Amino acid sequence: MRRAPRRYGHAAPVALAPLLDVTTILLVFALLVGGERAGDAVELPVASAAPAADGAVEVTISARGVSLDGELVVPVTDPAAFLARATEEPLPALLEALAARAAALDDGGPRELVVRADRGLPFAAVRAVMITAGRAGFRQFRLIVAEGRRRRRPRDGGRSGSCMVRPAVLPGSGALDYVGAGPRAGAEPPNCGGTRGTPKTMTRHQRNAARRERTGETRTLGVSR
Amino acid sequence: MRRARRLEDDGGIDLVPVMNVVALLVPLLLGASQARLGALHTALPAGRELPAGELPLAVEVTWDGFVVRGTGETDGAVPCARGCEAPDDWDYAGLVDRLVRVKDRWPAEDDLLLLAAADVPYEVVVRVMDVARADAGGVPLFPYVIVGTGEPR
Repeated sequence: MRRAPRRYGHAAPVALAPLLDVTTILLVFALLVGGERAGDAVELPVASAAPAADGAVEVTISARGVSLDGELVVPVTDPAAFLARATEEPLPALLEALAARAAALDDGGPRELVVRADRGLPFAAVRAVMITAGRAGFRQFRLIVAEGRRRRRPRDGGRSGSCMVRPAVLPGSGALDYVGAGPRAGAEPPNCGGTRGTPKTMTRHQRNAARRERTGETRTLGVSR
Repeated sequence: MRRARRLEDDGGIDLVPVMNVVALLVPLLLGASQARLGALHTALPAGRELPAGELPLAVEVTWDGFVVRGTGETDGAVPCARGCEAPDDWDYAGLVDRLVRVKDRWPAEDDLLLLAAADVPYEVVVRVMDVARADAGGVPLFPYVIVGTGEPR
C-alpha cells in the first residue's frame, strides 16, 4: 500500500528579520537623538506653555557653554568670569556666529531664535544670549520649557499655551524701554486672549485705541520711571 | 544501520522575544526624545514708546523675593517666607494674589515688565512668567510679559 503524500508539518514561518532591521534602525535613531539632547545636559524649566520649536535657529545654554544648533560656540571654563562678563557685554563669538546665520537667513522676515536653557542657570546667562541675539538681528525668541501641569486653567482650556513675552532693554538705572512693535504687531499669540469686555481678536494697540476713543485719553510716548 | 535522527530546527534563532523588547523600547525612546516641550515667545523691543494708558507694572525678582512696582496702592513686596534659597522658596502664590489685586484695579492691562537679578535662577523667571499668565476669574492676569534686560532697583 502506498503511503499518502506527506503534509507540511508547519505553516510558513513569519519573516521577522526585515522587521527587526527596521526596528533596530529606529532604536539606533532614537538613541542618537536622545544622546544629542543628553550631551547638552540641559534640564528645562517647567511651565504651562505650548507648541515647541520647529526648525528655527536654536541656542542651547548649559553649564558647559552656549551652543548654536548643537555646535559649542561659547565654551565656559570659568562660570564666574563668564557671568560677570555676560552682564555687561554681548558674547562676541556668539554674535559672530549668529550674524552669519542671520545673513544666511536673509529672507526679510522676522528672525526668531529658539532658546533652550538649563533651569538652574543664572538668569544673566539667558539675558546675555538675548542681548547678543538682538544685536545679530534675532529679535524674537522662543524660550523652550518642559510642559508641566497648569494650576489654573487658561480661558481656552489650555489647548495652546504660548503667550507673548517681550524683553525690554533697560539701560542701567531702570528707564523703561517699552516695545513699540513686538511680536504682537504681527500676530496675536494663540493663548493670550484679550481683556475683559474686549474681543480676543483685537491686538493690544487696537484695544488701547478703542479705550482712548471711549475715554478721550491722550497718547503719551516715552514714559519712563 | 539506523541513523540517529537530527533535530530539524537546530539553526533557527527565535526572534520573537527580541522583537517584543525592541517594540517596547522604540516607542519609549522615541517618546523620551520627543519630550513634551512648550515655548514662551519673546521678542526684543523695536521702539521706545509706551502707549497711552498703559500701566507701568513691573515685577522685580531678587533674592529677597518679589517686588511689585508701578501700580501705586497695589505696590508692595512679596518676600520669601523662609528666605529665598531654592526656586521653590519664592512665594508664587503671594505674587498671584497681588497680581490679582492689580488686575482687579486695572482690568484692561495685559503687560507686565519682569526684571530679574542676574544671579536669580532662570527657573524662577520662567515660573514668574507662568504665574503672570495664570487665570483669574476667567481672564489671564498679565499674559504679555516683557522681560527686562536690566537689573532690578
